[in-house]
Amino acid sequence: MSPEDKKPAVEETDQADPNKVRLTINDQDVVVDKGTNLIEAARSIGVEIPHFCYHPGLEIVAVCRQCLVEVKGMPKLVPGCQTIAGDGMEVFTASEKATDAQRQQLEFTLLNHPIDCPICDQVGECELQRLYFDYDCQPARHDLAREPQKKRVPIGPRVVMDEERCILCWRCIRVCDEVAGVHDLDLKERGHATFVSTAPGRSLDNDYSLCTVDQCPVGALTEKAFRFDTRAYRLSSVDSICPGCATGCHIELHTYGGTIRRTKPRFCEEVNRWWMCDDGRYIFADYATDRADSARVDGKDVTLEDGLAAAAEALDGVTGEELIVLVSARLSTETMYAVKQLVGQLEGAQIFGTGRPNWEGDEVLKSADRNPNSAGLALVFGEDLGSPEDLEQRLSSGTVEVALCLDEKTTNPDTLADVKNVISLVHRFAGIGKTSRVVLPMAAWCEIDGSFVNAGGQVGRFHPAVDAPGDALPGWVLVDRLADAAGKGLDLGGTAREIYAAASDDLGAQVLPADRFGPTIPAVLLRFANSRG
Amino acid sequence: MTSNSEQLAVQERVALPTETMTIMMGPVHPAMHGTVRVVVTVDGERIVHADVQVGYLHRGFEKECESVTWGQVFPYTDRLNYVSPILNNVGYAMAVEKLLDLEVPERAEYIRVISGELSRIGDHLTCIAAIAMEMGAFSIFLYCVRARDIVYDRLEELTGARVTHAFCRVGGVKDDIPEGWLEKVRGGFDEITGVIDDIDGLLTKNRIFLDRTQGVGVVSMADAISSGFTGPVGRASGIDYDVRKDHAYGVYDRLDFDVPVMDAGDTFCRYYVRMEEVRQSLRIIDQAIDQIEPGPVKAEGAHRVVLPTKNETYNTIEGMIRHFKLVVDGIQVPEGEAYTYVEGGNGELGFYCVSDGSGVPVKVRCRPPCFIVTGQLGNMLVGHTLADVVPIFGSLNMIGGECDR
Repeated sequence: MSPEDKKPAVEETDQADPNKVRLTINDQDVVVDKGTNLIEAARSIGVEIPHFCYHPGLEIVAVCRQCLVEVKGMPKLVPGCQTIAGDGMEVFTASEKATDAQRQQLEFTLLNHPIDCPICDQVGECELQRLYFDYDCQPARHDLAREPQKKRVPIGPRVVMDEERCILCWRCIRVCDEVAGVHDLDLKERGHATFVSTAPGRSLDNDYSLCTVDQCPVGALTEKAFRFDTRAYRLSSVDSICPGCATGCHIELHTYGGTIRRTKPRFCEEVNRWWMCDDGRYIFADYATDRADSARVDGKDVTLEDGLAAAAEALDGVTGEELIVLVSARLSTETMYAVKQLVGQLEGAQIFGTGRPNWEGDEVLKSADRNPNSAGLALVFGEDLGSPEDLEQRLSSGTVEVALCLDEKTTNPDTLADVKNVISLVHRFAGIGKTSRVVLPMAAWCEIDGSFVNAGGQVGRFHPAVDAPGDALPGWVLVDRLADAAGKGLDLGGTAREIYAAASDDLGAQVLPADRFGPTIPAVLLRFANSRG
Repeated sequence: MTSNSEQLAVQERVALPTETMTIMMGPVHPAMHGTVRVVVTVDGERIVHADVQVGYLHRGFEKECESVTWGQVFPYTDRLNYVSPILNNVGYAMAVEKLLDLEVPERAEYIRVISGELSRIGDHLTCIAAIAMEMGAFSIFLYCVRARDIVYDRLEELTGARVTHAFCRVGGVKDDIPEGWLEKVRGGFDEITGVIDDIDGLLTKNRIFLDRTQGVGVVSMADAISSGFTGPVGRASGIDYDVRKDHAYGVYDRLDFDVPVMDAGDTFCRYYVRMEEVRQSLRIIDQAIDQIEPGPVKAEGAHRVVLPTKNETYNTIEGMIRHFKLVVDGIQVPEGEAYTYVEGGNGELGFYCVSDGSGVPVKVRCRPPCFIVTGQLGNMLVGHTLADVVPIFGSLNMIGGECDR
């Protein structure tokens, strides 16, 4: 079918649809939903209208005046963010008038901007740098002294403010108002003296305060923990899922030199949109030090082979009556599925689901359940899963000889004090990892490929960002090796993707959709990712 | 080459039966240039087969270029033919400028010509020095190095570096010429000409030198053309081709110079063509110095390509941002591909660049003239004595860095 044949058909459907509007942007036809603003309409055909203050997730304020565009018939330029696309509108984003306005606006914005790029944390992902370079790129026309303002204003426990760098886009104020729901930040003074500051009697101390840093288009708000840590353009970004709670926010882990440096939220319409809570930002730090990097038997470091052999020996000849398996809801779905396969070989062993205790969630993103994969646990083990109360009852019966614990936070070590052999797969020698007879080192979520199922039943895929320490291996690999050592070959795939596919086949594609494991995305070097700031 | 083999066959018929022997020359050998190995099979003194193996020096120039910005490639090009780095700089800069459709200011073009021709003189002097020294004429080597030092001194004054200059920039050159530099350049002419005249007097009619070089390592014009020879080696075989003349780039069309061509295609011709080219380069520089006018040395108004001045960078936020974006993100070169070629020290030096629209090249391919010439070395050697390997190889002026494969 030639394009000419196709065109009228499209037109007819569009005209028939009362919820659509037709307009032209730079002489290109665009059809968008009613109520779409010009920035989004232009974006839909790949035309960028430069903007600072507009954010699709925040209320529109039209204060930065950067998105001025020309609309035929309108006497003045209009802001693209606040102007709703209307039928028959003719918009020009790159006409002489519009380009001039955009340039002049950038010139004004830069008038008092400090020459901080060499020491600014935002450099390389700075929206002001990008827009200046792409839309203006003219040398300064003046030789005036800048107006100095306050630097290093500690406006909150996690955020530092630099008033000189601020371009007054109000995004941070709106993030506090609309995401966190608290009015922590406000504008002070008027006119050219305006600056962003904390609201009277408040400090920027809400659970979403670091979202203001994400949304700051320049380096006015910087994260204390990341300040002067690494140049942003040297970081590599890896797609991951936050393991902090059952919400499972989509995140990016930014690495440099083999260590994770910071966490940033990744847009996901169904889960977290552009946001994440402050608690989730520093989870990687928990796994950065003090890790279990070798196997331990009776408190002594041994090779992984010896550790596996000791575990296999403990499991040898144990009947299902004498064995309990404790699985934490912090593990990946693939590890859980591997455990299910192993337990299938150990007749009658009972499985108990555990994890971190609940905390106080909130109405925004934080779920009361602090385990990222509780839903996955329920999916994989279904009705076989025993509750903590069942565990108590079972232990009190006194028949338990061997306990296999996956994750150090499965239970209080005291509960298993009477069990003769405790085998644990842990991230660190803490909790149950301290008291178990056989300890095997397990890689953390940020070191492995896998998936979590969040409270809403959505599968989220995470990628390995850094190497696991020492001998630590992914949970499912350890389970597989343990089964091998115990002479019970599991028919597991060689990759997390294969295990997920097997689990999907086994448990049903409606709960674990095969395509949700997603393509493997290699780490992106932010330097050449075209300033994603 | 066939004549050599025929000669060999005749000699073999009358000689006593002998056994062949395989000798490795290189990759590390005091008389070899760069790291290259020649596996020669000799029958007595005569070479019956020679296998030339390049690749001992491999930095992966083309691959390296794919992980740096367009501007960061310049230092790598310096290290191609490291005896005449500016010519390489110019060749690469022209490819990027072609992709950007960027006009280079006239003064910058003249500076490129003057510094480039100085580099060429240095290149040729090095080659002449090596040919002569390897046949025992060590004084010639010292004479040449003395003359080359004048060239290096001038280039050091201009660029700040003695050998690897990295002087060109996309859209021009790094800096304007220092005060009084042009007069200094001219002031060195007499000494360089004097050295060339001395060498001419000592070597060109020297019986020993002629015996060692005439009729040695002959490449016929047909062979040279079919192998893709260019530059002094091609011109020594009768190919009247010089990129500066036949595809004039920069301001070469405004300069009057001759292209020396000889027909014999032997080591002597390759030596003598270079001698003459040194004189022609001096002529070019002389005219360029007369013609050069004051003006900018970097494309004006190309703010998205040319770095701001230090003053702008450190005192205005606009300059700072531009500097940062150009250094960290690189020059955003429009999508496309371009091939440019210049007359390098050894012949047509080509750069084929592909851009995907980002600040990093997708591909930078270099056509190294001496790689092509070295490809025929094995054929040139057959029939000659072992002692001829070094002068023949020397007269090709293979530069390991450029031959980088």
